[in-house]
Amino acid sequence: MIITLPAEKLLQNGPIIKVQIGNPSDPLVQAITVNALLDTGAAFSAINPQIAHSCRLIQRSQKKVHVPGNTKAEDAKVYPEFAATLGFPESDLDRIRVHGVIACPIFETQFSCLIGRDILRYWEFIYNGVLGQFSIKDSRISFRSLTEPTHLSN
Amino acid sequence: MLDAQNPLQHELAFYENHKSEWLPQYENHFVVVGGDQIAGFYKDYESAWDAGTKKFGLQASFLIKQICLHEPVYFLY
Repeated sequence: MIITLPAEKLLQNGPIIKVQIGNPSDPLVQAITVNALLDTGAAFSAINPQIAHSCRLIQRSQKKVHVPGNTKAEDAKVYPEFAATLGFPESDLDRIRVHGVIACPIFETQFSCLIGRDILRYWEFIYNGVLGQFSIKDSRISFRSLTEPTHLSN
Repeated sequence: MLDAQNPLQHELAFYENHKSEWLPQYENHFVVVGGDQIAGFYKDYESAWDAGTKKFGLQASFLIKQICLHEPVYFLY
């Protein structure tokens, strides 16, 4: 997927894509499509708590998270982690069937989801600020072939 | 720090009580816990979720927790 924007818009908003968030425990719940920022500064992917509520996602864990505005390590807070399905409409990126996402308030109007390094680890992400262009290539097949043992049969 | 409203409070306490037993063999694996029952240890989140839904049910409450010596603090910037 290659997205081209006016360079000024990319500078102002950052690399934003559409993400469809669904409930892996209940496919009958309507998935929600939101804007998501590709955020190399985020260790984990996050959504606004309202999305978790609307999709009736089920909490599966919690994580201690340091967010902007925290000045000391002890300011980190515990946020719930939900299991979600992540789809990428208007793109050729493969769906992620189930993945843990943190629900913490994202005080932005342009996006309500952060795609962090936990998902970026599966993608090749190229950002070209000069051209106002960014591209994403799903490398999960090659990633798996590098990390998972291959079973050979005679 | 456990929230009184946390639906996984019991499972998180169970995890803390058993973490030291699991660390030598399963560090960085995902353990699946529902109540006092374990649904196994898995190398990735997806496999852990599959095992949890199979053992406890799709809508049931269960914990998926990566086993770490020190609880990591993640940065969102």
